[in-house]
Amino acid sequence: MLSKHSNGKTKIVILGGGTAGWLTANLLNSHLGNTHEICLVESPNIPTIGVGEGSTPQLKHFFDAIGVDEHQWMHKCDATYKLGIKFTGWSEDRNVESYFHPFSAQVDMQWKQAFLDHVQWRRQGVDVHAHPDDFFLNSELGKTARSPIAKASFPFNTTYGYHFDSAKLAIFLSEHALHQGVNVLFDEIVDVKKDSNNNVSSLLGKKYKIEGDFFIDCSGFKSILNSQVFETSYRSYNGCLQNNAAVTLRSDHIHSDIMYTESIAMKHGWMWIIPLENRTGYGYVFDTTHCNYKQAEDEIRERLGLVDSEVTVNQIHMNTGRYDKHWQQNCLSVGLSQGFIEPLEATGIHLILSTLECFIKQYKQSNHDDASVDSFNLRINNQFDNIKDYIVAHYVTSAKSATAYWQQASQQAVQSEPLHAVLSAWMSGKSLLPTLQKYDLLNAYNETSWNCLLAGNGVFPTQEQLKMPIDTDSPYDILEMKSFFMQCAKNYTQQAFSLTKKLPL
Amino acid sequence: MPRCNASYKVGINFENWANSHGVTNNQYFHPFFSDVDNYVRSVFETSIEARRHGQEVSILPNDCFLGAHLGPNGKSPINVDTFPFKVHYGYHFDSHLLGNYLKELATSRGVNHIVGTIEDATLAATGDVKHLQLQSGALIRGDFFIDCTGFRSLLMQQCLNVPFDSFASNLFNDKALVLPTPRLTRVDAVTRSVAMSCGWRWQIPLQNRTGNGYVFSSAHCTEEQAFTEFACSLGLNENKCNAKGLNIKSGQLKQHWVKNCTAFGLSQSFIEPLEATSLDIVQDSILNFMAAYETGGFTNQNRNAYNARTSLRIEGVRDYIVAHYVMSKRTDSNYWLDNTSHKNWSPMLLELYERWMNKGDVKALLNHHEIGNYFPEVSWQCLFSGYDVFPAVAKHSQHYKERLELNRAKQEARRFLQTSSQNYYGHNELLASMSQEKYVEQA
Repeated sequence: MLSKHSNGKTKIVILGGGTAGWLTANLLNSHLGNTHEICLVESPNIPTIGVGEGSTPQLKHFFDAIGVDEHQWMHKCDATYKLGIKFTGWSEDRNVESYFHPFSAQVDMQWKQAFLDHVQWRRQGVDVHAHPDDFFLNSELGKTARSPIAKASFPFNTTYGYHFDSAKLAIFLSEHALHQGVNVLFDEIVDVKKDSNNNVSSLLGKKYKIEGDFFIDCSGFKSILNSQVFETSYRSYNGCLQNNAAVTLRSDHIHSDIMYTESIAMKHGWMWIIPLENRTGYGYVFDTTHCNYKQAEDEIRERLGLVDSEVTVNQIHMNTGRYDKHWQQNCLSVGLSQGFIEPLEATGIHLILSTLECFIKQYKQSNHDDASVDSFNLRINNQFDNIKDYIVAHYVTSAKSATAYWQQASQQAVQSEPLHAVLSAWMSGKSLLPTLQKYDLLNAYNETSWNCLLAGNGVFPTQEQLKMPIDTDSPYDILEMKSFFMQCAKNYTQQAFSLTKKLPL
Repeated sequence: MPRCNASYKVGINFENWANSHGVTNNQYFHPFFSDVDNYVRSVFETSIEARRHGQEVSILPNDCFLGAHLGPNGKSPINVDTFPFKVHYGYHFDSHLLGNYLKELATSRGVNHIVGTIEDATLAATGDVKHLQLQSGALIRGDFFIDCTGFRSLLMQQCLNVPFDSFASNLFNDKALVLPTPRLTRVDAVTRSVAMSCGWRWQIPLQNRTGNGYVFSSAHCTEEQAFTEFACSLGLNENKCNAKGLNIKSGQLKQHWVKNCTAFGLSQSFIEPLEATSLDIVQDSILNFMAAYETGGFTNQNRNAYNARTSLRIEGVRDYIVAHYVMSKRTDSNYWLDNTSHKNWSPMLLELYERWMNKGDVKALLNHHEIGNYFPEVSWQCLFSGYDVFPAVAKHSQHYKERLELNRAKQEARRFLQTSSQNYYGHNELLASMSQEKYVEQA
């Protein structure tokens, strides 16, 4: 075990005060605060890059774990509920207007097999209903502008994420961490000292020398410890994910009836629309080999009717890829310092939190030996690669031939063996599950998500190739299913923001 | 339903079966199943398995099935629209009124109804039934005859001499007393089955009255003794009431379809109504007979298969009923001592019990015997857990954390079911509104 400091506590130093740093500080403090001193070093000069303004249900787990209720934080961060993501225009050549990728609800169980069976029969050439939007509760809630919060008399769980202002979230989390006893130092790190065992011993700032037993690199793209100190090798995803830039802007428009992220296919990439309590955030993720920042800005302005608006447009450059190690010696990397994947499925915070949860579990069990750390790194790499494959699948199964960007995206050769196997299983009409299991893909997206994506993009035989179903083809009553979800949905409120107390029955 | 004074039924509450009086928690609920149960099924399965493997975990069907939270709390099995989760259910009804209702329905749909007393049946040289002779002298000819003459079994047992296979070696009850009492203030969608010193009594709540019956063994007590105990248990003065006595005969025909004749109902088989299985067997027999008769081109081609299947099914029911007696730990009368000491178990029941106690695969056995559809594995789990029939708790029951986890899951399941039950109509209110509708229709 690591040495104790004078106060009897092991000291963990977090380098960086962005979203990743403050998520880390809060979670470590709530799990290890009794025996560990948590210290965060923040540079006053480094601006926070919001890793995205949408989350997965992992963020709800985080707030549950640190004991913060929605009414404490949501309003302060302009947050709204998120039921899932609506993908619009990704498969227009197949006449698919949009599809919804929902976070799962407990009642989905009732029709899960119907969905998987129908999708499989349609792949095998039977003209049965297989568009994902009718098979899940959260999709129905999205259609009818309902939140994922049910009346007390409806005892089923729904998973959901949030939309939020990431700068405000970082402030909220920093205040909460300070309140819980996390130390913060404002300093700019200029050097890192290592001991004879190749462990980091201290950070040298302009003002302080910060010693510690364990260090967490939350320094963003700079990746001070992971890249600069340990010179960890980096694996770019650029060969399969070409987008490398984004323009972002916001408007005062309020969409209180939209409880999902919308992802709209653009000429050279895609645009997010994220509704917050008091405004809406937009971003256009694109590939600079197909258009420059100016062209991208013009396109998004035109699309949003903001051509002459004085709105501020930010430019962001993105490196897509990951480092080969996330934990080495006495250092863990969390956030952009470990890697980055474009926010198409809002996986930035998700990866931060799952890295932390995995780390905390292993750290508590004192599994610090080389083999354990290697298996940790393998597991995190695997999760990055699995998410990458799922994102790549959005592009290779898209059908939008209007521009060279989309032609390239859909025609690219699939290099990833797991993704290749999934797509082969899909095309051959087989169940995806054995393939997902064989390639250990399920730690990122489950069978339902993969089916949603591929069915949502309409990857089926063409209408001419499909044969009419006969009576015995499906035992499922689709009308009954639609009615089931419609009736379930009526138990959910139409309130987009957090409520300060539970609804009466 | 209003015409038959019917009420809904979501299950049976078994009281005092597992142990002698004075033992706490001496009751369990055997529910009809619901969609909602699937959401907490894993809690039941995991607890049952942990307990079978010697962990000190308490588990009852009441913890994990919606029916147990509907019926005893005055709820019906009918959901409000915004809670689209179905409950399987049965009915309580006045069988005389139901008979009349079905008679009207059948005759209005073209069934020819002849009123008369059958004096005799005449067989042809082939051994087939040729015609029935009425007291009036009229002859009724037919190509196929169905014997619904009750315990008389006029065609099957009397004319065709089909032997009767008695279940008396492991089902001792041969008499019943019935005694209706006034309507209960609140009519619950629950049959009560209360174990007595020489049998058991039912309580069936109808809209206009309450049906009560005491099924007992005349080898273990006289009708007078039974009546005294019965009246006392109902809180009645035995000098001021009268019960009707009936003889019952448990068993089944050796063949259910002979020549051009089959039987449905008491003429075919009888098993005491502990799990209300009589009508189930009738309906199942009718449907299977029709299928067998039709697919066989209206010949006797499928007769043997039908007979074998029907016997197996009735024996499957018999075994489940027998289990209610042999699993008991009651020692308070000779009746219970005899029931719990005899070894007249069917091979199937014995094998099933041994598998249960030895942590084997019960489901596979039920499937193997093709009786898993009738009382499926979950019904056996309900019975065994209701009776607390499990291997002994391991001396040093480990897995403390796991037990805590299971207990927490059980509490959560109970809360989940209680909350779910709020979404079902009140039973009395629903029955009242149905009666209202009846009058509207008639007006």
